[in-house]
Amino acid sequence: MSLCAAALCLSAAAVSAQDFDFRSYYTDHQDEIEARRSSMEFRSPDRFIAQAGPGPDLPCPVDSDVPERVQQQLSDDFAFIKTIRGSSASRLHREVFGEVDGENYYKFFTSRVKSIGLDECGGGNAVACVQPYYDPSKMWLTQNYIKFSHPQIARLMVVFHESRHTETNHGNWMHAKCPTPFADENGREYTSIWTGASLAGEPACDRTAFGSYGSSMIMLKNVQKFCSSCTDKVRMDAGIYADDQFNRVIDAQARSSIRKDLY
Amino acid sequence: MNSKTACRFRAGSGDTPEPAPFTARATLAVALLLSGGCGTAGGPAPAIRQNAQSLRELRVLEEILASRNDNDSRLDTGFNGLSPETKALFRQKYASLPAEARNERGTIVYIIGKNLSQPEDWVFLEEVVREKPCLSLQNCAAAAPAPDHEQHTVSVTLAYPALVALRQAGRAAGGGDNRRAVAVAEAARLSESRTISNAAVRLELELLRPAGKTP
Repeated sequence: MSLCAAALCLSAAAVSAQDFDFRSYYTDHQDEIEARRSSMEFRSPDRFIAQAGPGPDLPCPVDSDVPERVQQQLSDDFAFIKTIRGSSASRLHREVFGEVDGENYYKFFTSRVKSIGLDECGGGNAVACVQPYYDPSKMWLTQNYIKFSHPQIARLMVVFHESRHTETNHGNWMHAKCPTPFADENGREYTSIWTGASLAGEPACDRTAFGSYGSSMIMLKNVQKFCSSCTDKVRMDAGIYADDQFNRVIDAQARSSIRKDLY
Repeated sequence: MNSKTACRFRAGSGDTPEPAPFTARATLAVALLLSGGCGTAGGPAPAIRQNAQSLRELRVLEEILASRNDNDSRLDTGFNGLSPETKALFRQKYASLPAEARNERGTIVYIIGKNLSQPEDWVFLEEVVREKPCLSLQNCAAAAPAPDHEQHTVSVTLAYPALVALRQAGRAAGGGDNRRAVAVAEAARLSESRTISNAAVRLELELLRPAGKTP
């Protein structure tokens, strides 16, 4: 079982038919969750002793078992994000992050994520996750953070998406189930790239512009439009990923608000 | 990339003012070996002209790819007005990379895409969008699980080199003659990847839209 929040990709069967509900999930799986929490605390005592302080550009303490290469990549990625400067910002961006500025992104992340560990995030080739029941302010990375060849801004999109899921005061910005049918602009249904099964009814969408999909999409679209310190490639990449992620925001009013703000 | 014939590596040809450093020669040799040749699809393999400038540019490209830093300013400043020789080396580099190196491959497409001065550059873009879809980030030849909530990111990265090719074709089409860009979009529209074919349809609509009309 795993509860990879960004994903909230718990045991698939548990969430396939309804929006994810932490409270009832906890009630139903309390023994399992508590057992895992215990095993995480005592399995390897020094695994969870965070390093004395973050590395040069690590945003927060990182568990000692996080491979050096993952730490280095994370440090490099946050070194980049801190350099971002923007010529302007959209209204929605100002609401969520403030101006387009690296320090704002860094503060956004570090005010939410207090430590980073290594996990499989439920397997299934995830890159990162948040597991609110174990620690709502901890993010977990998998080895895929360095193994997969995502563009740099896409790696950052994933961790900023996850950071939104730490917000317990907003119910962790849980995802909404995708509509039925869930089709693209050409009428073709969105399907799992693994099983081919429809994503309709799966908790892989947002109804709000401010959830994990919407907020990270707003961030990237602003990077595309306003980042004055980014290379043209970074801006192009940001647009490619933001435009695609926009499809995961399904509420008509939220979409209209984003469209008016950014397109 | 599809190349069948053996290629010749002409050291010292052209305006080569100095011998290529060993590392550059080795890099090129490895690239040629791994790529299995130098030709573009269906055509005879052109001889790769080695010159110091092209090899320097290849080394810079390799440094950037190794750094995984997409915000390296040399991506803006270092690859403008590339020579046909350099672009041939870059295409070879593309072919030498594993299919799973999505960002590295996409970076090369990006660079060639801002140097679309020759027919073979456009042919390269068409070949990229015609590639067999990459099925998973750990092994392009086989599908693998991907969590639902990360599928949007994964599906874009799987299609990334082709999406960059489409964006660059669209940018280059800003002027009057859009035929080359439309050809890239038409090739991409037939892709088995829904992400690629949708992007192609969007580009085609944009390119074929009467001037002054907005969608």
